[in-house]
Amino acid sequence: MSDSALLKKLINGDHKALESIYDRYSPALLGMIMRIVKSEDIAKEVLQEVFVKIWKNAQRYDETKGRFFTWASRIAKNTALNYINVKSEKKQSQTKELERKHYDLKVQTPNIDVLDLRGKVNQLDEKYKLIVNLLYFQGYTQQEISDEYKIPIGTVKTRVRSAIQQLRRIYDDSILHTKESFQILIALLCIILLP
Amino acid sequence: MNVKEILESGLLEDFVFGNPSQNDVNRIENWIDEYPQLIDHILALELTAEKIALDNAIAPQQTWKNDILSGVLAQNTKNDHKNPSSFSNALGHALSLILGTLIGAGLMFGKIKSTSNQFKNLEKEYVQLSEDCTNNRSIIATSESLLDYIQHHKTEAITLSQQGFNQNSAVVFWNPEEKRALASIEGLASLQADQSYQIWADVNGEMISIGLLDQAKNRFVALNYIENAESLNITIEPKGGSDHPTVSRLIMSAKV
Repeated sequence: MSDSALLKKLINGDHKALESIYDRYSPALLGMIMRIVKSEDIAKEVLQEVFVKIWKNAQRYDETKGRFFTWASRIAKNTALNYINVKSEKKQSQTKELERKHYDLKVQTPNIDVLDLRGKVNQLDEKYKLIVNLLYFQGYTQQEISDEYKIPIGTVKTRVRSAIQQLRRIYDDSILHTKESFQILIALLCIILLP
Repeated sequence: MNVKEILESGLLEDFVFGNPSQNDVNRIENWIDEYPQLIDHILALELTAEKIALDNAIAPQQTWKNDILSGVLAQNTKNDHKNPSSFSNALGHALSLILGTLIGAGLMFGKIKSTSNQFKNLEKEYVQLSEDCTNNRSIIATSESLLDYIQHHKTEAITLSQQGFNQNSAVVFWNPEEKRALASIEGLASLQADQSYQIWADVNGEMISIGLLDQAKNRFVALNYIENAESLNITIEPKGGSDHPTVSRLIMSAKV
């Protein structure tokens, strides 16, 4: 079922549609959330909040303005970043004793390997990989990257465009390889079933 | 801003990949209305972004689904009943919890049922695939055997055709070494429902039936091999064939 059809059902309060959206998108959204909050427990809370927002605001999503996943991932990033900011503000106003009981990013970071970037992004040069990580998985704007990493904004924009173009080429190539692999798989199946 | 300036601004990349402010989102959505050609550009960015996200997906623990979906629905129910009395508030909480649990159980049951159905369908598909493979294997074996027979050094292809009728012919593959005969009847013209083609071997002047060419069955028909046949002859007979050939309906003949 298409995203559009699912969203229509969701707006009408169809619980099954919510479940289908969860099945379809929760792993990709969790991948983003985890890389921001770096804790499974917090990520679960944030993921639930994201789905509450999707459920409540489904009627605000306009499919003529972009794909559903873009809208949902924006909610996920905002929610995760807000969570981190709120925690950070709370921490600053609390005593050290209380602070120790609170969520500590470094202490609770469960498994850093899990949070390393995976897949085709790793085929990029380090400078492009950094840009994609900051922009897509850490919620930076291009201006923020420029400010924080002291890279001229024009260079950041150029690197972002180059990284995306390279990734598009890499993914297009991989689709071609996937098609070939699929044909080989079918041939192997026939050989196995037709000894 | 014109389209070129928008594309160079980097705002579309922020819109799809970054964390744009609500003002930027509104601004870009207005541009999409104003410049529909931006949609293709945004779509290409979105598809790349989705692939990166899928590459970097982390599967939630299985137990989360029930917790999260129940929580979403329970929270929704809670927000629909704001500021009631403390009793009704407590009642609302309890009902939300019960509702959430029921919905969660329902979702879980639905999922189990759906998974079970998917498994059954997969099983049916596997059985069907196995049957198809067996059938295909049988067809290939038959075809190979047929090809071996046709290519055999002693197999003679005898073409029988009706004079003046280009579209009516049959080919008999005659092999005295293997004492086998096979007719390809694909080229025979259709007969009326109450008629059959019958093929005869002429042995020392006597016509002996070696088979009916039943067009309703296969493209190839196995014939009875007869020693010392001098010629093969096809007649049109009443449905089911005759004991003796109807000479007036002899339409094809060829020497062996």
